[in-house]
Amino acid sequence: MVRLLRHDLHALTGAYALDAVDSAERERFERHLQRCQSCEHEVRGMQETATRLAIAVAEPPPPGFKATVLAAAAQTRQHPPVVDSRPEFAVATRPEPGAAPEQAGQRARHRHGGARRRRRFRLAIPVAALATAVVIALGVVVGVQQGRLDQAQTQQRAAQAQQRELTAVLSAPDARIVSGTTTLGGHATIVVAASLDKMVFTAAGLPAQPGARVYQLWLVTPSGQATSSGLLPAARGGAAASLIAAGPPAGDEVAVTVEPAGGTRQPTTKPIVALSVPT
Amino acid sequence: MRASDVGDDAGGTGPTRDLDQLLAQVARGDQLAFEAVYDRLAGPVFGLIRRVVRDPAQSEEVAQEVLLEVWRNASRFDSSRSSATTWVMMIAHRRAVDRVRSATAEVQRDKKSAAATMTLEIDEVAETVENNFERERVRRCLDSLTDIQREALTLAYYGGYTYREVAGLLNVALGTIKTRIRDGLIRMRDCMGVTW
Repeated sequence: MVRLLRHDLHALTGAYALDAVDSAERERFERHLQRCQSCEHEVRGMQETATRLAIAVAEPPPPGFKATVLAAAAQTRQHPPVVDSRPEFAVATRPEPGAAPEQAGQRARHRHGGARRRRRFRLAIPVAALATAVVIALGVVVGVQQGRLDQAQTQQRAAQAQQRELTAVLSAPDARIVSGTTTLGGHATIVVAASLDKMVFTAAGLPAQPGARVYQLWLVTPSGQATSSGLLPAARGGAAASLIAAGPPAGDEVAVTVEPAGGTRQPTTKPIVALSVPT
Repeated sequence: MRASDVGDDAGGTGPTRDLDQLLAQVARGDQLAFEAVYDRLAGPVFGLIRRVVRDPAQSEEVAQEVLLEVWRNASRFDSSRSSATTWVMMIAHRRAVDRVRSATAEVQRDKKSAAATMTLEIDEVAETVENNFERERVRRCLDSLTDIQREALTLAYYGGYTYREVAGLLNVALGTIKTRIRDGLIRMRDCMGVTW
């Protein structure tokens, strides 16, 4: 391809901002962008402008689409942020930007492989009994949220979807259950359905945290890399707090830490409980 | 979704921060926050993809991919690089364009007829209360462009064509199309008062 002059490259800002370039040109222009601050500034303004063009053609998605997307998201593992690893969760391999984190995890697992011993104990609680507890806990969460009337309907739909999901996990033929006590009292239980790639986490008897602190759930790979699985909903009146999350790979640990309100990207305190995901 | 929610986004006002925050919550696996993001942006995402891809079933497929990418990659959104809405719309447009370009490789689209109908499309958009305001403004600003600027811009963005294809469709020299797209976008930016 003919080498473009600087002037020609600069004129590409518009076409680039609209994705109207082929992949070779895109690459070349992106290299140019790293050195050309004024181009970068111009491109950003153009990208924001293109957003207005998108908003102008907004169209409601077909019925049922929302439920499909939300359900799919609930089953999709999220990518961790691209950050430096903390020393206490030292990691040999950090996923490359864009690389599937699962692959990095698998590499790490492969290395540490069978040497890992299971030190968490399992309890054979009948799944049905646990199901009842979890459903009640979710009912509490939904009841609180329904106070916000404007969102009540969508939240109810979400709650119903959540309930279906929950039932699916708990009744999966391969559902495995692991339970343990926390250092703050109370106990935590996970039910993992590998076939659905989902997990239900529930904790009962945890002390209520003051407003500025929350319980945060983590998946921790054998090499110590932690990925947030979300915050536990605040439990009222000693009720259980439950969460449905993407299924952790066997050999990972599910851990809970106490974190500042809003949660953190990486754990900043020692886990109050860590449960090994059964194989 | 209210027009002001999305309309003000690029201006760096309340809704922007709000959406930034929601994405941060989404990054932590908060499904309710994801639903709130969906409620804000699913309309623009779906509408834009429909415009580029056309086929309803395929559009739905691409829109789902886009929204799941938002879910998966929320932790990688960087508010210093773009507004949250723009981050999502860039993913949507890129995916839509990828879809039609790979489809083009298999079946050549009828470019001439596409060129003939494209400029009318901004008028065909279904009237909905949510986007009335923004659409009016976009329409007004598009009207202020020269014909070739407007055609080049809509073919590139809503049509998903490369500027080389646009040059072919409009029978205009490559260099001319490049600058027309750029000039047109700059005029749109100023007309709509976009700052970031």
